[in-house]
Amino acid sequence: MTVEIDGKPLPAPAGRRAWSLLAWLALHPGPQARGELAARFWPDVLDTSARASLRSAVWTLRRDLGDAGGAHVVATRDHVELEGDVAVDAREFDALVAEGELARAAELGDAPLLAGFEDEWALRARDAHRDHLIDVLERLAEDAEPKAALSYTRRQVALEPMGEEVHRRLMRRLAATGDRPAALAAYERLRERLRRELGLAPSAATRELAEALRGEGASSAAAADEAIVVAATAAPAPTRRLLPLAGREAELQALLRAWDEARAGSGAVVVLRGEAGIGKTRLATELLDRARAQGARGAVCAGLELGGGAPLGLWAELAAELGREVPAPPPESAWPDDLSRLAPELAARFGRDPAARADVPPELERARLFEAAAELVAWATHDCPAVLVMEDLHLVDDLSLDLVGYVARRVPRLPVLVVLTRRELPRRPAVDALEQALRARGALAAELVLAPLEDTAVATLSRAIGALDDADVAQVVLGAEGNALLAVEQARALAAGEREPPASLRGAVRAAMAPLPDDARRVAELAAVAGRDLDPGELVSLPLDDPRAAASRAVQTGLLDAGAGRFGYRHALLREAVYADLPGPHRAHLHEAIATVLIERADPGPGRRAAEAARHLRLAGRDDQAVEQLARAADHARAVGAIDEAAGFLAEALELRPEDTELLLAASDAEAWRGHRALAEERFEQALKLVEAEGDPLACATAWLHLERGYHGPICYPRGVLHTSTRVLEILDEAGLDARALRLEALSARAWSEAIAGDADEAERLLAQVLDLAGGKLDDGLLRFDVSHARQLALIRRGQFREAYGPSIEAGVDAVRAGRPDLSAGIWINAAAAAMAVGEHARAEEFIDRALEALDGVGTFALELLTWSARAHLYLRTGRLDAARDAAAHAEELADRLGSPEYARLTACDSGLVALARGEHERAAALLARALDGEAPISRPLARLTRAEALAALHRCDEADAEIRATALEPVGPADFPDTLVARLTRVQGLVAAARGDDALAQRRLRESAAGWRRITDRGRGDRMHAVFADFGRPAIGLVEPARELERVEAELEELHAAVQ
Amino acid sequence: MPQFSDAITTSAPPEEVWKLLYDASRFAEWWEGIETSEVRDGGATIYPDGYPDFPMPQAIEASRDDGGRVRISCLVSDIRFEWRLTEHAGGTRISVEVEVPEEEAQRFDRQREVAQKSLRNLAECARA
Repeated sequence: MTVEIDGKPLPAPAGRRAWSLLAWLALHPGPQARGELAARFWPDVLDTSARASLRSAVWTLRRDLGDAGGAHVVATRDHVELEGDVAVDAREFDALVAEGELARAAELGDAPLLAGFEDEWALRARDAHRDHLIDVLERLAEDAEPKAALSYTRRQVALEPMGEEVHRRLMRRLAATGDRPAALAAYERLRERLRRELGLAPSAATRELAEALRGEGASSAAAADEAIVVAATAAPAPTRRLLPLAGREAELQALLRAWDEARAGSGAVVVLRGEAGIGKTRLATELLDRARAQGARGAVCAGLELGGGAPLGLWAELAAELGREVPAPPPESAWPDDLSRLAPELAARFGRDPAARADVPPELERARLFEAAAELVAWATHDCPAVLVMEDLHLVDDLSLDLVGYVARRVPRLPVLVVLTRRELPRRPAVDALEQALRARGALAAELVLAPLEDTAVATLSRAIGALDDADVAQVVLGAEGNALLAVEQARALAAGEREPPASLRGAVRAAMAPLPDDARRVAELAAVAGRDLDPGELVSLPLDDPRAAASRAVQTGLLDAGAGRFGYRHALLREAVYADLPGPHRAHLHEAIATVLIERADPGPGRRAAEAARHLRLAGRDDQAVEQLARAADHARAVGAIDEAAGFLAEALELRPEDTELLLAASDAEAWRGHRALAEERFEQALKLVEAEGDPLACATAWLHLERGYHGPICYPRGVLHTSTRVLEILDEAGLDARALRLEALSARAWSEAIAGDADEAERLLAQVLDLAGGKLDDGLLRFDVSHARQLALIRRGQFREAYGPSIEAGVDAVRAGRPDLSAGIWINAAAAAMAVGEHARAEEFIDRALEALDGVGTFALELLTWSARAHLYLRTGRLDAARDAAAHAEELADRLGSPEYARLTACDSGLVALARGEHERAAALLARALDGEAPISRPLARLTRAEALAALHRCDEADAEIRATALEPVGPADFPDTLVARLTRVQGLVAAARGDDALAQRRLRESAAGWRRITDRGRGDRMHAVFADFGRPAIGLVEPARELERVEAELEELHAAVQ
Repeated sequence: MPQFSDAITTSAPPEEVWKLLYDASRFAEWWEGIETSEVRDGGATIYPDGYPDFPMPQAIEASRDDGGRVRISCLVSDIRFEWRLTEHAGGTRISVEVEVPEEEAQRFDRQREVAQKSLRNLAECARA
């Protein structure tokens, strides 16, 4: 409740009763009999005491309201009344309804009435208001068009999450729009909620409606049976009951302001900081509840307290939770399939078939997952706003933090508020960096630091726990030192009859646990050991006779919570206190029990719970069993693109079992993917020793092939590929083994290494051998790709650019068929570069179109960016400057989406080159300065010279000179075309001299430059292209054309000469 | 492998020294003992004083990874020169590191002399 006097908000008064009295008077106009008020507010005391308390409350109220108190709170001997010009929004709501202004009423009255008031009358008033609002929303829905009607109905469901009637309305309306899956999903959510929170099945009317929607599906008899089973087996669990939010009015208002902006479409991120137990979660929950009451979606996820969990664990939880809430996305959207790798339950939820997908490089997998997560958030907000709460950021894995930053870049365009909570200590640099990045982008709507609560707020909180006298409350205030959690636990202990409040939280927790029977104690201990909330499936799998009943009993301690489908501690500190009290051997036993549950419930294939299971097994002292789980955790990490984490799990497994060949080879692969050649080689050498000792040549050849793949793919080390592939072939020859598949792979790899860095003719000879060995036909799509790719590179290397088209087309098509759009795009860009080299611009554009086509919908912005960059260069080269500007701008947008400073500099460089060509010299100078401000895959000497040229055109000659000097001090590589740099630099010196009016020097420099260009031929263009590819990972679109450069310098000389004349 | 290093400071700006270092057609202007040099098809060839018919092809490498050094290796003798420029008090400090293979060890002192004179020449040429 908020009170304003002449537009100024009034702080809540110290006396809770006075505030409550004001609320009553506001809702009940006219004189209120003192006797009735006294009996209502102080029912448990004598009438005289109650009347005295009423007098005191009225006095407090009038004092706190200041002048307005005297004017409006009218108290006579028999009555109390709120009188005069008093506007009450709840009454205005009723008036608007009476006038038929339903839309305005629904807007005005959508917050819960008297939120935070727990008096019986307030609860009844809140319920009545909610029912009234639901009626209004239904009347609006009946007259609205289908989309708006759905929105009104969703708000009804949010107001009454377990209301069957409102759910039936929603199901009918969803079905009426043709979205039957969403209608059934709404039913499933209701069914699950009723089962979980009340142990009930939906009523016959609701079940029948669901059956009707299912059409020919399961019989209604079966559904009825199921309902009976659910009702019979589900033990009742208490619903969540929140304590009042005390002393956080200012913070709540700040949050609500951010939420108002967000739901209007300008999303943002909010950070809540503060020590453990200070009230971050309670504040976030308040916002979440209010938002849900307004029809918003909400989801909560949290970091794992155990440490060392699966990468992206935070997002796996969020995806699973949001997945339960959102309607099924259209079948053509690809993101649910990508996201299913992280949260497998999504595939079933959205009716997808989790088809096997090609393994792709970790960075591509990661890019897909990141984009899929952003798509999920966008989808979750496409039909209503949302609040996403991410708790305990200080515990979250680094990759999850990266993804928060990635998604946050989209947030300003979505109706979503992301609430991040974190403790101040221990410091976590990755979280600080995330906050800093959000701040820099202006995405942080608020940063709220929760200070210790005021004494009055602690007192309010304590009284909400139970009947405490003033002395008890004073004790709690003294002991809690403003910490909400401590206050609640101490108050709880006093209310339960303890004579003294416990000196510590641990003491309070011990007191709460003491009366628990064995099974309830055990389930509480298991929950403490688990380190996170357990889901219903995990709960019922715990090694207890009746885990649900035990959980229900444990929840009654007030330490645990069973709301929202999860079972766990209300706060991490409570969990830690229980955990700390467990004796060592018992604790180990419990960890093993949790690990067993996780392993038994694991999905087939790499499991996201494997890392957790491994952690529990290690804490249980079962290192022998932990190794297998660590290997599975590595598989899972690799599958979600978290290669650093995969390498970490494997390293840990190898510490426990150092002589395991499979682990060593997997670790070698992982290090290769991380680009750590020396480590990859070290692990390989260790594995090779073991394999050689076994004397199995096939195993030896296979091991060598592991290293070859690392060199060939992530490390890109052609000499290494040559060595390893040769070794594979030698081993097979020496042992007289056929091993055709291994031979084919080794031969094609060797051909690739010769094509890119050795003898192009030898590459052709090896490719002929591959075809011969395969009988003229290659069945494996990726092998066909390798062969065509090697042929393309060999032809480009030899300068046979047109001849490279054929193999390029074959390789591009094969890569797409093999599920590798990334490889396909690379091939098409190479082909475009080849076409540019022979001046076939239309062909080059066609190849670039094919690259974009291959990447369409894949979510790999980095590759798309490089393709758009290639397109900008193509247009620049062909003089289509507007198109070049647009293509470069598109690449810049993609860099922004990626949030990569390196790519931002690359695209700034492209845009700078285009700006110079368009005569936009100021813009060019600024963009190129940005491009040079840090690492980027660009030619720095060329970027500096281009900037110097722009500065010369602006007559900023000293700056141009400085840029020329800096060019001479830059490291130079083959991709900078060193043999052309002197001619380029001398030309720019000429331009600067001309800008200074020193025509003689200008002419001399330009003549020197022209002489330089005359000495440079365009032979070896294939090598030039390979040099750029090796240095920057992409080919040069438009090679150096000495004749063209010479022509330009000569034209400049002529112009200068004419001007001098 | 026997090696030595030397350095000199010149008042010439780095870009003028740099232009001489990167332009193989101008090696003869400052490289002691070189009579002529030519650039053809992207490669450089030098001809020693008094040996107009004795071409010595040179590999000129520039590597981004080792701090912007220009490495000039003789493909006949395997003697390698690495040149590096740094800005110094308004001018340039030119450093050179030379590696002489074992089989050319008898030319070590002569190469030290060549490097010293070439440094002086380079500094002067750039100033001109």
